[in-house]
Amino acid sequence: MKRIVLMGNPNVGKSAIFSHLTGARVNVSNYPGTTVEFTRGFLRVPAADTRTEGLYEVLDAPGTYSLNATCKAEEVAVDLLETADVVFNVVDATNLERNLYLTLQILERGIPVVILLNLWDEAIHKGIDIDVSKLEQALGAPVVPTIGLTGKGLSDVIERLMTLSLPAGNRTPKRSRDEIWTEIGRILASTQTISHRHHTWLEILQEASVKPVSGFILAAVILYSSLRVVTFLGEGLVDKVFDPFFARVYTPLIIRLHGALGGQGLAHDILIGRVRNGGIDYESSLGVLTTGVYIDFGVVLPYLLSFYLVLGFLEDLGYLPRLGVLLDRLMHRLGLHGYAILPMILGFGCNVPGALAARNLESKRERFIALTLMSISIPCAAQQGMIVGLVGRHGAIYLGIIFSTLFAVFVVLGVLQDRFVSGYTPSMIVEMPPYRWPYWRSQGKKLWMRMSHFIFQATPYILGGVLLVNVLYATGVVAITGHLFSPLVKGVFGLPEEAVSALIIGFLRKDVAVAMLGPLSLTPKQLSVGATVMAVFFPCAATFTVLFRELGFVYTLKSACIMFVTAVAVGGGMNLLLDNVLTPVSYVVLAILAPILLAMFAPGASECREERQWRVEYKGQDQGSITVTSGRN
Amino acid sequence: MIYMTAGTAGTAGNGEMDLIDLKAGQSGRVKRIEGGRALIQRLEALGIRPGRIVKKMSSVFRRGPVTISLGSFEVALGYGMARRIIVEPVEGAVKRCD
Repeated sequence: MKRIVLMGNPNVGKSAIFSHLTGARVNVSNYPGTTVEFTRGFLRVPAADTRTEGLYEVLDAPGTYSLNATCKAEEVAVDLLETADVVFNVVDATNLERNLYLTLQILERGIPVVILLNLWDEAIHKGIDIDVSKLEQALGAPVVPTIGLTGKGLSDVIERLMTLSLPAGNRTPKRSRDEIWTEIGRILASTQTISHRHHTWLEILQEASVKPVSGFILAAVILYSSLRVVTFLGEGLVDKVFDPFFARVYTPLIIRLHGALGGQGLAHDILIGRVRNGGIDYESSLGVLTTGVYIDFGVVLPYLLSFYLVLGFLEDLGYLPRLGVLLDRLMHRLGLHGYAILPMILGFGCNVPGALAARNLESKRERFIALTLMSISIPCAAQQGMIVGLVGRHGAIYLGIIFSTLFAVFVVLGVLQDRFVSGYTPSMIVEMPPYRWPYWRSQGKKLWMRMSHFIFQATPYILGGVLLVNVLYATGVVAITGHLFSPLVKGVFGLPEEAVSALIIGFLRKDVAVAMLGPLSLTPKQLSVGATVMAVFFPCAATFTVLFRELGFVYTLKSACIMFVTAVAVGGGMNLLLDNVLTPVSYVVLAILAPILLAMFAPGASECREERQWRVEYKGQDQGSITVTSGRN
Repeated sequence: MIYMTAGTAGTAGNGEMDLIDLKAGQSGRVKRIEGGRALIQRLEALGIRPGRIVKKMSSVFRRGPVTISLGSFEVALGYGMARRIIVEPVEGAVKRCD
């Protein structure tokens, strides 16, 4: 089977083309590569043509700007290129100059290449006219205009693939970088004409998004409305769809099953759990089919659905990198740069893709800080959904307590890590994608992918988690460990001994862990402490596995130590402060303001280190004069 | 002794300045990049190389990132990075430089 590798700059529509090429047959598997994962699918070409094999393997490589690998992701792309029988070089037609740099480098490799001139519609819209046949001549490889979102032009691509004479690319001698740029200039002059046009309102919005004043106003509006939409949709789904479903359809079924099982026995207790007065309390019965299914579909799913709907919109719009630009200063104080906001935001959905996205960060220092911060202070959407469902009913202020505490932990821990993790964080270099109005079809696809992932991958763990709780209780493990950790759980956190079961389950699934606090009839304060400790304490098994793979044993161990210490300090601190010292409102105000002040006035440790490095490396000869002009003059 | 200094000493004179000192809305021709091989290659792959004209779009406060336009796309560069890119301001309307 021949292998096609999709290569191109980041954000040119490779994945859209990938999903169109591989279509319904797509067999998306994540390679556990040591660096960046890529996606694999299959393309079946109509069997009528016997010249080439019917089935192709298609790999979606990570985006790269050049073949001179300068970071982890690019290394993987370059390695993939070596294994390719055919390259589909996806090129952004609106950015021909920059994209051709990679194209010319690929062509030098002597691998057959089809060039997909993607975003063709956008190029036309922007007044960019490209002479395709001339470009084809200049490059010596087939060039096909495509529109990745709709799949237009891809049938032409496949046609060209069939007639691709092997090897189409002749191994041209390697040119110097300057020669490549001269060549690009020549090609552009003869193939591309750009006509003037006025700014669109999306472009005006684009500029406003990174300007100091308008940028922060826009960010506040966008984040606030996102939050409102998520809660509004989530609540709406629960009230209008999921609760009625459970009340009218599911409960009668369970009642019938309860009768059929005779109302008692092992199977009954595991599946249905405790039944009080003939009624079923989904939160405290602890049955796999009652509490388990309810956590999964009644609480977490609606929240996840609305969260990913909004996230998908912001992702496709192109807003998130701009938020990174605005927050770059703050993030530098936490030992990261602005683009680290991206893994964090993804982490709010699920920590696993968030942790993988941290591969976009340049240094190991950053990845360590980012992953530690994320697994400690970013609760995933499933966990948030459970927290909102369980704690929210006692009043929004208790949600405020939990989330402001997590914010404080995020900032304080960031400042500390920046200070104590050696090295410095380089500044960011990030291409700003143009704003694009999200296309409903790809939005739907993305949402469905994420939801089906949850339904099929997470559900077994949720149900298994509830089952495990039953086992832990039945075998007396909860009682024993409860006694054992009583000084910590009871003494420091102020929680009942049984809360230890929730902590144990926290290793498996965070949402189930939070749900385990429900049947313990805790006070709102205890619930807040419990839910926060659960978030901080330890990442779930899935995240932990990724952490281990990304950081290695030693750094994972370090990270785990930080987690444990933080959890104890935070739980103990909350318990103490909320008990005697502060009212909930003043606690929230303090937990938000104090870290902001800390971040503003703490000396940026890594910034100083970067400055020093720069002076030694490039300003060595100027040192004397610098001291004079800055220090003494 | 090496001191941490505010501002960007050392780039003054002969009309050269770094991207921090370039005003928003102003264009400049890249003169050199004060960085290692990896940085130079990384910027070059984005099209930021000596001779290229770039336009500063905005900056987030004094030590925040700088956004520059390369004609058809924009790049955000952190403060530490923007300071290493030395340009020579160009007057008047600037056409796309290929």
